[in-house]
Amino acid sequence: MRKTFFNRPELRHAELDAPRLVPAPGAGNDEADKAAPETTWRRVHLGLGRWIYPLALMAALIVAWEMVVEGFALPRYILPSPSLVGLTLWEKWPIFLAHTWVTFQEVVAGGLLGIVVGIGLALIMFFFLPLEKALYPFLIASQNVPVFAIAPLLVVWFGYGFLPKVLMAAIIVFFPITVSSLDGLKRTDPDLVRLFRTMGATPAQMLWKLRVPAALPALFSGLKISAVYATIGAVIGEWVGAGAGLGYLMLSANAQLRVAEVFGAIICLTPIGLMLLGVVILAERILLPWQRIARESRIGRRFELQP
Amino acid sequence: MNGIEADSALVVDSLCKSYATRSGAYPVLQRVSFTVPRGAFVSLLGPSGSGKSTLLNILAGLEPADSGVVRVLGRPPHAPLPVAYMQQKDLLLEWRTVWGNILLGAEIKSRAQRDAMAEQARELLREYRLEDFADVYPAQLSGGMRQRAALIRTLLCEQEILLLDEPFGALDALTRRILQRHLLHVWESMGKTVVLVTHDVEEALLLSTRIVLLSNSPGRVVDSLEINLPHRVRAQSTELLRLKTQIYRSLGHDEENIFQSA
Ligand SMILES: Nc1ncnc2c1ncn2[C@@H]1O[C@H](COP(=O)(O)OP(=O)(O)OP(=O)(O)O)[C@@H](O)[C@H]1O
Ligand SMILES: [Mg+2]
Repeated sequence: MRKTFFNRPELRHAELDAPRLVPAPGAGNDEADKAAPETTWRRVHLGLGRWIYPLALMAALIVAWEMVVEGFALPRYILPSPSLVGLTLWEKWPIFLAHTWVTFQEVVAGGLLGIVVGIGLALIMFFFLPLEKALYPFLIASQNVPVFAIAPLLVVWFGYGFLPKVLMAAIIVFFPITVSSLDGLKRTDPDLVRLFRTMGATPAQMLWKLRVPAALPALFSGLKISAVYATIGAVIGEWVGAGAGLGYLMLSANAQLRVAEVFGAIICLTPIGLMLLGVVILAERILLPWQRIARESRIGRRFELQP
Repeated sequence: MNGIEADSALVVDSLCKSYATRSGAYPVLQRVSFTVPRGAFVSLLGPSGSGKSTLLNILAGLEPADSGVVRVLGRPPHAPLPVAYMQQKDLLLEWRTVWGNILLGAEIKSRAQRDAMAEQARELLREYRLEDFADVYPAQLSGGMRQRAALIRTLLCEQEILLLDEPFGALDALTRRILQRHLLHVWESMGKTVVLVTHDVEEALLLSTRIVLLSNSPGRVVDSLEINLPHRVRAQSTELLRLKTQIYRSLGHDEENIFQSA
């Protein structure tokens, strides 16, 4: 049975003569879904299909890579075979894990800092128009400075430790967040603003009940970009000067032509970004259930008329 | 009714409004005057583009008029009017369920108010046949269901005067009848004053105690008629037929030019 706010049969109207609207099967109606096995099977197939094709492609690429390395007898300091990379990861996993953990912490701390600064900046710019006018050109200009150019400076100012990497990640992260949340705040439907005004909403209510919820979808687009970019910031920070982290591991292995280790570090880097992206997508699902529902109901009608 | 001002909820006096366009000022309302007696059901009837929505925006305090005044008796001239406004678009918040949407007005007043309105909200949902959809997001509703939710939200704002801009526009004929009947019921039992915008002549005749006719753009008041018949007997009344002919004549239907601009 579909969960409703109040499922009290005695509240059902008796006198009304028009057809009643009921949820269609497949609209979150579990019993109806179970009764339609071919739909369930289709869904399983679709679910697998999402994974089967990319996995098959990846397997094919790995096999091709292995064959190229073996066939041309490439030296391992030029291009190691996938099996060698796998072996290196297997044998040195405590080292890889330790460096991954360092980078992971930098990415998370930098990401959070970037989010806080980014949202704060967007709010400030939204509420003080002169500040927005003053800041926006600098914000755009700042994105034309390659982060590589700032990285050495951060080392000069903050040394070789944790902090400059966090700042580096935050610098990369804040921009998409600021731009997307400012955009979201500004794009609130003016008719809704007027509706709130006729209802006598206070400025605080206008912000928390209208502008913020309306801006959240835009904010999440920014968050998704940031989740992917945050790792880049941390790695660049490590490249210009560090004693630990995957970026550091890559550089030192590269210098000693231990290319298999470089590949190992790259492989360790991917799950960090993917995990953050996963967290953002999960948060979006939990916080904005209505968005997914809106998308789905645009695809198919979820309710049908029943006589 | 005599002593117009004494029992009036709303007095609209010589409102003028024009919008600036590239080719100069474009008049929308020209010296519009009418009164809405307290507890009355007044319909503003006029062809599309005659400025009905603009007029309601002004009454709701969302837009200034160029000249003229809107007054609510017994209130200081510049106080916000005690109106709940349902605009032509349903304006539901996509991120709230139907339940969250209909209680928005109460919630804006206070949390206590919100809790106090829950019972009434439930009852209205049931009467509007939306009780199974309390937990559903607006994206899952049909146009007519959205409109019903918006109407419930407006009723739950607990204001004396309801401004309704074509509340039944997106409904099928059957649901429309049921909801018209229900609106009458609300109007009678809750003692509200209703200003209804419509371009459906039948609807105006069936519901109103007074009909204000607006001309083609720019909107002027061309006629104003009282209907003193009880609502129960209206559908069969010959008096209504006479009024209908009068309305069509006032709107210039004889010359087949209702929808041509002046
Ligand atoms: N913000 C605006 N700027 C310029 N012109 C406007 C604006 N709002 C409305 N108008 C013009 O005012 C006229 C009246 O519009 P309004 O929406 O009040 O008509 P209406 O009587 O409600 O029509 P309908 O029955 O189709 O809803 C229209 O010609 C419209 O183009
Ligand atoms: Mg209109």
